[in-house]
Amino acid sequence: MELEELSEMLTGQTTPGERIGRLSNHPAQQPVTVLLKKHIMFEMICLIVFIVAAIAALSFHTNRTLQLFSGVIIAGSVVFGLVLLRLHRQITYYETNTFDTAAALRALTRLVSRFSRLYLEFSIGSLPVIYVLGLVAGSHDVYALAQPGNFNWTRGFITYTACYLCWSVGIIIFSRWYVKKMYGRYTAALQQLLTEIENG
Amino acid sequence: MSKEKEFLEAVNEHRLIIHKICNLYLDDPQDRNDLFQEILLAAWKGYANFRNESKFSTWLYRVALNTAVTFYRKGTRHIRTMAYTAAAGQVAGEEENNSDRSHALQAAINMLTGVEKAIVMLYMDSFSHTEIARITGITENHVAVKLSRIKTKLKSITKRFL
Repeated sequence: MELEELSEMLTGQTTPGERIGRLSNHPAQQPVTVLLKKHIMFEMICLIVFIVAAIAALSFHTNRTLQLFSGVIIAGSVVFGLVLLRLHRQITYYETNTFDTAAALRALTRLVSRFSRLYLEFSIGSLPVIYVLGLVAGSHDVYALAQPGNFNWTRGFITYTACYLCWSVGIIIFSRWYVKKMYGRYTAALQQLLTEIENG
Repeated sequence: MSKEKEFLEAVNEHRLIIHKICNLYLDDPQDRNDLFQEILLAAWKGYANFRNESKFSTWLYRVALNTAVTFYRKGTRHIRTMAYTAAAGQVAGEEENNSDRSHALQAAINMLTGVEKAIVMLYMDSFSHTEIARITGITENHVAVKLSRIKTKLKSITKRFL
């Protein structure tokens, strides 16, 4: 049988694999763009929850430290939300404009890689801001104490910095894991296809 | 005629292209159905930007192949292997059967990568090297090289079954 005959057959065939396929599990399967957009929507919903919680904290609490953190969370969430929205729109653009396979793969790979890098940069970049804010807020709380003169500043500073470092390491590990889990597999799959189409 | 009606008529006329791609890329009927729906959705999303610069069939091939190539699921390789093994087993057990060669060829095509399948698909539908290059985004020379490699690969795989 030649390839041309097989082509005819493929329009209405039942393959042996089809029978086996019916017996196998059927996990959800969708194009990468659709899956990516679903992840983005999930993250946007999380951001909205964060913003609402931060606004509630800002409205119902008079503690200056809490208010300061809430303000930072709101500002950070809004900025990150805009980045997510931009990514969503760019993916939609690639969906609605029909590129050749190589160009579509190249654009999507670039987009997902850039976003993963941005996500990590955003997480890591926020760490020094959080450190300074924590320091300022902590000092403010100490001065609010009845007898601030009794406070051991050196010990307090060392304890705060140690806690901050542990927390930072945790955030970096989590961010790397999250980005790899959420986007890494798509980047790898797209990259593999791209390498195959360009060099294979 | 409304855009929607125009789209539905064009898709209906060329639906065999989508069926063919679904059958080539996936084994499971439910997966094929999912892919069919996704291709239709992708085509509808992109139809507003279709400017008749190419034939509708060529454009539909492009949309369908882009969707099929990036169709993603965990454990796809596992299911593929099962399908391939089943096909190979059937071929081995029915040597006198007339459909031996078709099953062997199909099993061999199942073993090709997503991009290779796209190129074979277009070749099977009599697209020229220039058109294949335009749809896939690689050069004509590269298409020729890839096709030659794919044919060799298919021959070597089918030989193992027959």
